[in-house]
Amino acid sequence: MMRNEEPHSCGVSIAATGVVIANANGELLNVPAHCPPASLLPRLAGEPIGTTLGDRMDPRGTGLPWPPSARTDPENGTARLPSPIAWLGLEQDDREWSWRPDPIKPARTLRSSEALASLVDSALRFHGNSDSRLGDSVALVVPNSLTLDQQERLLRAMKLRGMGGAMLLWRPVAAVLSWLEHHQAKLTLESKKQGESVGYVLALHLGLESFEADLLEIVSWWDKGVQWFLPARSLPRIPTLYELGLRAVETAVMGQKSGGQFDSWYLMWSTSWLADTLVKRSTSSEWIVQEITRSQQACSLTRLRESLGGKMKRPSRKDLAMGVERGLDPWCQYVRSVIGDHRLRGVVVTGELCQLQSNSGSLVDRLVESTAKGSPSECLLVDHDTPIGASLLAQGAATFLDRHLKNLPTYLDTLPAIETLVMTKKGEPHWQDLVDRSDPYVLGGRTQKFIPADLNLSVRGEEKYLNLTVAQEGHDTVREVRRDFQQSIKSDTDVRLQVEIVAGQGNPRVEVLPDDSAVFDHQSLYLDWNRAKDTGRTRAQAADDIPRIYPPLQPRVSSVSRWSGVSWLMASVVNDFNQRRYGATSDQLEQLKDILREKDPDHAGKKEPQHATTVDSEGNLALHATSKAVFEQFIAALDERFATGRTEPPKELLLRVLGYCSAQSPRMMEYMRTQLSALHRMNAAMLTAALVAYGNCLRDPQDIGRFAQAMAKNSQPSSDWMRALYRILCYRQEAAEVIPSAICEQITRACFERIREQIDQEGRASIIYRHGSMCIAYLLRRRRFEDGYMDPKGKLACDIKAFFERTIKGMASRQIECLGGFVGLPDVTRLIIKYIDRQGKGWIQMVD
Amino acid sequence: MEAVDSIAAACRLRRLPTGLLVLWTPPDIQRCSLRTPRTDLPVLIRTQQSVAFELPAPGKQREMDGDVLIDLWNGDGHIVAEFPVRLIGGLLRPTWDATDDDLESNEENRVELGVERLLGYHIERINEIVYPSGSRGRRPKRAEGLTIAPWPESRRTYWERDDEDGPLRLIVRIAEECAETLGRVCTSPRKALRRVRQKERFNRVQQMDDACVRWLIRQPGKTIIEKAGPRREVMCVVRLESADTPENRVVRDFVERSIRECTLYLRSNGHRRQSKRVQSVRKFRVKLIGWMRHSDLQYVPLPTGIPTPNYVLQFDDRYSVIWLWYDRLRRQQIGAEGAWRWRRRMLVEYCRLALAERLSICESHYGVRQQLFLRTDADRGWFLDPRSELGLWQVGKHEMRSSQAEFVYLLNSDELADASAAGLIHAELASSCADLVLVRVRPLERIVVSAVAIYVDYAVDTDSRNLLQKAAEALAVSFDRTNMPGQNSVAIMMGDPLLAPGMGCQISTKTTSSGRIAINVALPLSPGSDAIDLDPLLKATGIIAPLEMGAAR
Repeated sequence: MMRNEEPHSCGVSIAATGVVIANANGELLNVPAHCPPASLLPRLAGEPIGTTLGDRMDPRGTGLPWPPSARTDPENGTARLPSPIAWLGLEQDDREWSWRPDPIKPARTLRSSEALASLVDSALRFHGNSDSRLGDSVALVVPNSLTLDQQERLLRAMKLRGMGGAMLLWRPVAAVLSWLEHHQAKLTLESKKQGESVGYVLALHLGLESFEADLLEIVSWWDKGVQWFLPARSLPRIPTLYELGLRAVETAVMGQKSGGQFDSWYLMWSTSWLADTLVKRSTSSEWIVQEITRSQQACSLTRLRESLGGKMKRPSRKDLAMGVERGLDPWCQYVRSVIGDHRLRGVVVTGELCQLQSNSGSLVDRLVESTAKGSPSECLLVDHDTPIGASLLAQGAATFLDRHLKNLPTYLDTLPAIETLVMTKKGEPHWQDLVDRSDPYVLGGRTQKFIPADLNLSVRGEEKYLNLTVAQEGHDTVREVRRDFQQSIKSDTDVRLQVEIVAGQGNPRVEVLPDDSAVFDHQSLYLDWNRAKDTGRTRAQAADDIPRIYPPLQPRVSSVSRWSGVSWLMASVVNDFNQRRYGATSDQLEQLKDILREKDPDHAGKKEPQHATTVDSEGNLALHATSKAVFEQFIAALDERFATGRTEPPKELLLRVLGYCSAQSPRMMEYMRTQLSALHRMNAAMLTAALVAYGNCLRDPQDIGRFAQAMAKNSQPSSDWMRALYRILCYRQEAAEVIPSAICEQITRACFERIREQIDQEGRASIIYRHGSMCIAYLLRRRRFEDGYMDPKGKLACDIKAFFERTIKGMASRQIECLGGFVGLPDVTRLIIKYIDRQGKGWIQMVD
Repeated sequence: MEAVDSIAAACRLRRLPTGLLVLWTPPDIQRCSLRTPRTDLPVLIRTQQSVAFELPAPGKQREMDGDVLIDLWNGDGHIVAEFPVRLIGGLLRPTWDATDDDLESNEENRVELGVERLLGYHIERINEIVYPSGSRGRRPKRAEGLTIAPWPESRRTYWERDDEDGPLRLIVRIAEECAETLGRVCTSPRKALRRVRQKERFNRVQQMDDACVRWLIRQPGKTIIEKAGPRREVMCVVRLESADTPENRVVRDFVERSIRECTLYLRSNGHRRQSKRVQSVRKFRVKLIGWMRHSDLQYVPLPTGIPTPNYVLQFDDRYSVIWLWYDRLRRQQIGAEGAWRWRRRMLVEYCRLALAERLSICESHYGVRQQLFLRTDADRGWFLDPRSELGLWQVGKHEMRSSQAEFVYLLNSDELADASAAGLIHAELASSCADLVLVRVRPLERIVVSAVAIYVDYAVDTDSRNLLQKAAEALAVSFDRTNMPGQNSVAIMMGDPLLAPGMGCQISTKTTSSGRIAINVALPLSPGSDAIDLDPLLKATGIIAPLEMGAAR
């Protein structure tokens, strides 16, 4: 391409004191402004958005008492949206500002992204006549904490104003690119391999809207035999201090004027007061420094981090009001701690407040002293150009874009986390990364392409859309992105996603790729982020809302309150055992058995009811339980007594007590193992006690498998058998793995026959119905290991579902009597049907 | 009925010291409207005690001879009373079928011609801003049906001096840009086939319909030959080419209106025989008359009512061009008819732009961005929407960030109450029925440096001239009776058709016993930037300091 055919590029930086444009050669182009740059809301519907750029004052929103459009009041708003406020609004989910010029007409509105885009457009138009191609490619410097969505909105607003080739560049990256232009010579002496670090540069931004700090690694990069030193940006680690400068300046301007709020607005945003004050080191600048550094002892870093929620998140206005009080010390300490032992090669300072001077020295010196003490002083670069604080940034952006257009390496960036909710092969929801973040850095401005594996996405026949649940970095809640098809899909089709993303340039481009492209008539289908809907749910809530194919584990929890009534009794038993008074302990053990079995009613009353007893299903006491040693002594004593084979206390009683304790008693477990093959020879009382112990204590997969086989041989399982099995299945995560599908099906069939027999013959749903249903439901956990188990359209599944439907109707018409508890059996039965249909959601609570 | 009578009885017709007839009604009257043609009267001032409505000048002879009825409306939208009024004004619009000699024969007609010239100029220039010619750069922006016109370009267009080669009127642009297209249309207008029934020799009959068959049955005779009669003709359907289409009716109207406009232009400027524009309009007029004589369009009737563009007028290469110019010409001519009734208000708008022009020249430091929101058609004499952002200039030596920064506001009559509430002008000044108020203030200190109430009207005869000349002093004396401070002065801007072109404004100043200034400004009605040298007015009233006059931009 000939030189004169190359697209013209420029970097643009919007500061509170002016808009700066830098061309590819680093030359600054002057944008005239008589007051801080601001966007002007339209007065008429359809009127273009105006700006204050230029050498003429626009009366709108000045704060003067006349004309009416100049007025600024809380009720009707203002027509003027200054750039720092627009930046803050962009980070508040692209806030919409409104102004009511006429009381009887609707208010005019303007989004923050539109305001910023109009400022860029207006600034470029000033140079449009002399250099008409200036706007072909623009790189706009943006705050370091913009989310994907905010980037997308800003880019879209710029595109709508004719800047289709616009790109965004992180503020610290732009600053460090400028730093490298000045100090790269010092680095070139060090020869480094590809990707090796040569140190770090601290980028400080002291803007009105935010104080921002980021530590960027400088990485050696070889491209076509040429060595480059590129800034590498990680995800932000240092919280941004919002509005600190703005509030300080507001206080200063109030000190200048005593005419009230409107006059302050006029002075600050409609005149050149701000730029003059920040440059001329007047009394006002001392005011500002004092205000910023005021009450440094007021808060600790802990409070600072607490108020910011420990995240890189925009705080609420209430937090911001407190922010002025906080001072800078905690923030500087935090920056210092992030720098830590990193090898600091330099500091670059940008922003409107970087030239502030007071009697005790400059703000920059103070900040550098407290954050980057010991860094080489000759490598400190402060933005001194006018309009202050934005020139280095614009030059950095111009450098970036120039290199990008020439296909040269620009900077290194970290890809954001974008995850989608998918089902694993084990039927559990899982957040799967859409972008491959195995490499710490990618080249900025370059498109990265991925086809994520293991998404397991498919579109079922006759469906007309694909719905994805996506969690993005910077969003607390998840969003749903939907892609409608032109026509419904004829048959089930597996699809993959192809993700293209450019770091720092908005949302990724996600193409839906079917295995057979003819399904979509050979058309390319992309997810439409503009129509993404915020679900308002967190990631965990979204995962919970996914229909499951089997019920979740339902472990029993331990209750502190129950333990307090048991501990003295256990201590008494231990004491008796120690004194060999075994006969006297039987009554106490009987008493203990009942208490251990009882559930804590407090837990049952919760929104998600849980079974809570003294000991949880893993055999542990509650976390805050006292005298845990008593419990251990008690289990050990019972275990020792169990091995003796004496009749005092009776063995079935010991089994029950140990069972309710879910104890891992070695002698009892050994006994139970040996009895697994001889259960049919046990007497009824002993069998009942043993089944209690099996249900609560069996953990070893082999034992569980043998127990299931023993149960399968029993074509008429009692309720105790069924209870023991469902407890094993709902307590132990891998229990269903060792039970083959055939056995599961056999047991299911036997349970089904038992409950059908009860319903049909007795006309009531009692404990057999409850335990049998739970058994059928929890055996569905076999699907975790074999997806095809209990096909919803299979005969057994259909029979069970039909029976359950019939039962629900019977219960509703009172023909079937519900006994044995207060659980709403029809609802729970309906839930079991849904689980059989692979559409279940939530816990199954069949017994109180 | 008694209530209705009491409302009518509470209404009063009063003349302001300037001679303007004003209808005062009780405060619960929200609207007043002329019954024919149905037009709302503009509100001059609205106070808690009463409302003042401005009355128009008579548009027709019968309105001068008899009473016109005015309906009074309450807040619920009901007519609560009617009020008969005899309109005054004394001038009727000149008729364009008169000869040149008729027009120049007496003084009254010279007055009418002068007024008509000013109105024509104003409408023409606003039209030029709303529909700029191709060489004027970017297309204007429109919003809510209004044209957004930045003031720097608008003032250049409005006050552009183009008289050397004859004024650039709409008809000149039509003659230059549309003549060729119009010629092509007139020589070969678009024609449509029309089905008509007429007698034809029966061997040439191609189609008959029910009516033709009924006619044939009614004819005596048994065979067709007998029924055809001796001429051998029967009634049948034939297709004839016809130029009588909606688009050609528009073209016919356009040609006639253009001829009328050419005549008007040549009457005003025909003496400049060397002027290319005059020559081009003269040639165009000859062509138009020729086309009307020889084209099929002479048989086409005129359109009825206000034509709406059909597909041909919107999208046909030739007709779409004609439609655009026709629409503009028709709007201008209709606007001129309406403007004649509201000619005083149009003069107020002209004076507003004239004052704005002078103040823009005297602006200091950074200029203030101003823009006009213009209607396509005048609303009771005003093209400027009330939301127009015109009327703020920074003056004086102090910068904007200084608390002593000074601004000049040019307030329209409908802004006075709001401005008074904002503390910008004295409350008495807000209720003085002034057409315009100029006020110099330090808004940040809430200090009014000086203010002048401006009243505008025509001096159409000796009586009205004498009245207006005395009105300034009378008003200043009446101001003295209130508690208005002395820096509130009075000015009368008098449109004088008899002032010779090129003379410029004639300004006389008087001071009342209390030191209040009263100024008379006689404006010539030959518009142009040299005719609006209002600097003495601004200087005498303290709106612009003498030293600030030289700060021309």
